[in-house]
Amino acid sequence: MYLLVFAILVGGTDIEVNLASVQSAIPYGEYVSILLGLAALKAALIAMFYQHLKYEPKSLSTWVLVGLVIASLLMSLSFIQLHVGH
Amino acid sequence: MSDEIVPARARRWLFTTNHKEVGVLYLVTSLFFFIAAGLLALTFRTQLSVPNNNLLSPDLYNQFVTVHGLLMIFWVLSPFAFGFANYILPLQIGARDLAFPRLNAMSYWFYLFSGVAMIMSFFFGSAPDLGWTLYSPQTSVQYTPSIGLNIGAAALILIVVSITMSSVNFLVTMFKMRAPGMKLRHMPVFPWAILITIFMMLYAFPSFLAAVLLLYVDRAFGTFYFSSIQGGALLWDNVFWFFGHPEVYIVLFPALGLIADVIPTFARRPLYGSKYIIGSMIAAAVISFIVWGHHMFVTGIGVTSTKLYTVTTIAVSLPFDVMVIAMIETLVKARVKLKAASLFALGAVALFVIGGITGVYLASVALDHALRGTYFVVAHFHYIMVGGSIMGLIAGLYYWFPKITGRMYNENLARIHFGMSFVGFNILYFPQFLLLDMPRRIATYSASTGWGPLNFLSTVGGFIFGGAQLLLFLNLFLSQRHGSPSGPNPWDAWTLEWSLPSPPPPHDFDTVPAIAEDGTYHFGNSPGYPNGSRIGNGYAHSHLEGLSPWPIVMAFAAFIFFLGLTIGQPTSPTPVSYKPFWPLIFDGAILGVISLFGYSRERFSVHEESRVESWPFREVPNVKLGIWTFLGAEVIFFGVLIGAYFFVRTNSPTWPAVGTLFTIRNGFAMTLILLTSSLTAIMALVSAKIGSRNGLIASLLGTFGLGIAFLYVKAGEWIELGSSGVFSVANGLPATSYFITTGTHGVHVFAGMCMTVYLLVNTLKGRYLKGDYHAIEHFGLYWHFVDIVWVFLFPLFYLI
Repeated sequence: MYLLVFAILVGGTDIEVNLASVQSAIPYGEYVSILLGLAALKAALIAMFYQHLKYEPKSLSTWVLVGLVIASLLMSLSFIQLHVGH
Repeated sequence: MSDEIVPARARRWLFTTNHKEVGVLYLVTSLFFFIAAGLLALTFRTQLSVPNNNLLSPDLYNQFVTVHGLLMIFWVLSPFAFGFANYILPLQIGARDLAFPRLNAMSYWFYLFSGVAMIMSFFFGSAPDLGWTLYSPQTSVQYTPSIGLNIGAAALILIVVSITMSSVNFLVTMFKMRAPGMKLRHMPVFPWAILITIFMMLYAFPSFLAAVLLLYVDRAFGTFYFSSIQGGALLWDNVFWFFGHPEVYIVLFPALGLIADVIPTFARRPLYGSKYIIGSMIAAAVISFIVWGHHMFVTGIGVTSTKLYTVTTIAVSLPFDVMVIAMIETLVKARVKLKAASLFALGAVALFVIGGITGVYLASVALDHALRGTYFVVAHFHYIMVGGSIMGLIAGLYYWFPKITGRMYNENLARIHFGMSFVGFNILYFPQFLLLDMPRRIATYSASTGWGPLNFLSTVGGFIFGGAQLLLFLNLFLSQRHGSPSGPNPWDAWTLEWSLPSPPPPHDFDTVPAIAEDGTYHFGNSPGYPNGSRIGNGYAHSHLEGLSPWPIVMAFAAFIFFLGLTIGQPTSPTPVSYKPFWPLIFDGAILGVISLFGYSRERFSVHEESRVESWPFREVPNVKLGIWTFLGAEVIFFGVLIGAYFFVRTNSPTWPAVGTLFTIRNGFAMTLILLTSSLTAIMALVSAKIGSRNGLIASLLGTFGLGIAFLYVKAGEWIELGSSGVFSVANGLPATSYFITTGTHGVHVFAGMCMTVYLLVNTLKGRYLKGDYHAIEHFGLYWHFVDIVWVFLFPLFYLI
């Protein structure tokens, strides 16, 4: 299982690098979204299988999600400040 | 060390890890800082008492105001509350101590040394002098070249470290060490208030830590985060106030929780709507993370944002309405005993209401435009922080003084203290509401403004209020020596700490208290307890007499290390740069390594009880929960660093295109290296679990070697970029954000490698192979997190 996850992580990284080489063919917003989505997927795999969050009690994964939500609040509300409603 | 029972007095206080003694240390130290900050306030109030005064120069005035604010918020309000939390909270929930006693002691010593550093800043040219909010660009070296701000930054970093350690400790304790039957819903309101406060601390303070670190590198290395004309000031506003608004509830909630325990005791009836009070605190804590923009209404953030923050700010006032109404409802038709504790508690509620109402005015953008930066705001937050929080904490001091010392204070003197404090406070701050056209942070004013009489009145109130506190200290000092014995429960109160003798024995409970299914417990001989029931069968547990020198040594090492980083005088006037003081840095680092080594080798066991309430983390061991809690704080910390990168990048008109600066090949290589190191780290855990010594050694060596490879490639990249002459750390935002973000990540990789060495050494001694693999698992949690951070940094810096 760990080797399979490792293979997926390496494959995902390879996709990211290849995407960068064809970046001009993709709208920039979509390009960034795909890259960040891939990063999030890789992070989730590491957390679930290497950090064993998949096998831990739900209370622990909820705990982790709270931190992620709060971190994203700062970024999203700051983004709104800069780019929305001026 | 942990076997000694009767140490000399000074050594006991220096090396104690007992929660009650650490609590006393926090209480006494916070009161010292209260005096220091209070004296600063009286001095600048005297300066403002008459027009055109020259008691203080403008420069000295600014330093006094700034350090007063910083000391009160960081070194008085929260530590005062956590003195009670340390002493009383484990007793209230039936825990034997905090989850990590040495960590608790270390938190205290980091707190003390950080305060020493802040006060020391006065003696190195100039203390911080730009207001406690440290707004940019005033914090840049161009406007504040003095090293006092550098030392102040070091003090703030140290205290955030202290707070983070405390947060982890209290969270694990409250979730994992409650006595049997003490379910979360059965806890009194004070522990709930502390729990909610800790949540806010855990997620708010890492933002402040990141902000202060970025401020430090701006000053020390010439980076541009906050001094950039492309929104640097706005970036500071965001990362500071994202922390700053939860912070004002962090300093308030413990006092509110305390008041919610005091009022029912003296009203002789249960708290009305305790569930609603707790629910309201939770709601306010959550909303507190989305209101910070109301401190930025005049910064040009756009209509959508101002509308959003107006709505959220008004929304956050609603839970407080519920809390106050519930407390008032408790008092209706009650025959309240007017002792000092209840007087201060009731006074705090009244003053908090005034402060809260004025906060709703400030939520309006239109009103805020007129009132922002005036003394109306000063009065508003002092009604909350002093009126609500300090007065509430003083209520706690009188309430728990008999429990802590075993003696009663002088009630008449305490009532006079209340009267003088309440009257003095209102004379001090109410006139400031009327000074709504007087700007904050001005050292003097002309007579033609007409502000003189109200300022004079305010200063008179300040001296009455300050003088009243002398009665407090006199009363407590004399009473702790000569007061009449208090007995275990002088107030006939109902929470668990009153079941113990006053003061409690070192080990707290002789047998672990067992709370009945409905949350009741019975103690004492008097009938008529609203929670009367019989205690179930408790069980004996071993006494803890833990002493350890390593907490104070480690804190001192950090203190001199950070002093070394910040104490160096400017080496050149333009551009300003600072030379580190290497002897202190070196000494601090060496001492730090020695103390880490001593800490890890010390025999200091903390037994995890099996029969405790531990929902919802029943299956999660204490240390693992502590590590996940710490990683939660790290998520916020790196979130702010990455968010700062997003901010400066989207705010910059130009940015280097992909592939023009960084070689994607390098980034790809580093990513593969780290991913492989995560594989070797998990292989280490597998090897430990199956008892394979060779497998474990090979995996750990592999992880270490891959860490070296990562740092080698990173160093090569840095050298290549730096030698180009156009991409140094002080050469624009792309370079700044790259070097600082990846550099911080690199420090985390280095720390992980140090852990690997420690684990390797122990593996060679035969550890971790016979079911004792948890250290390997815990290391893995950290190392995989470091990998996750890089998984985001790679595309952000190399591909976008």
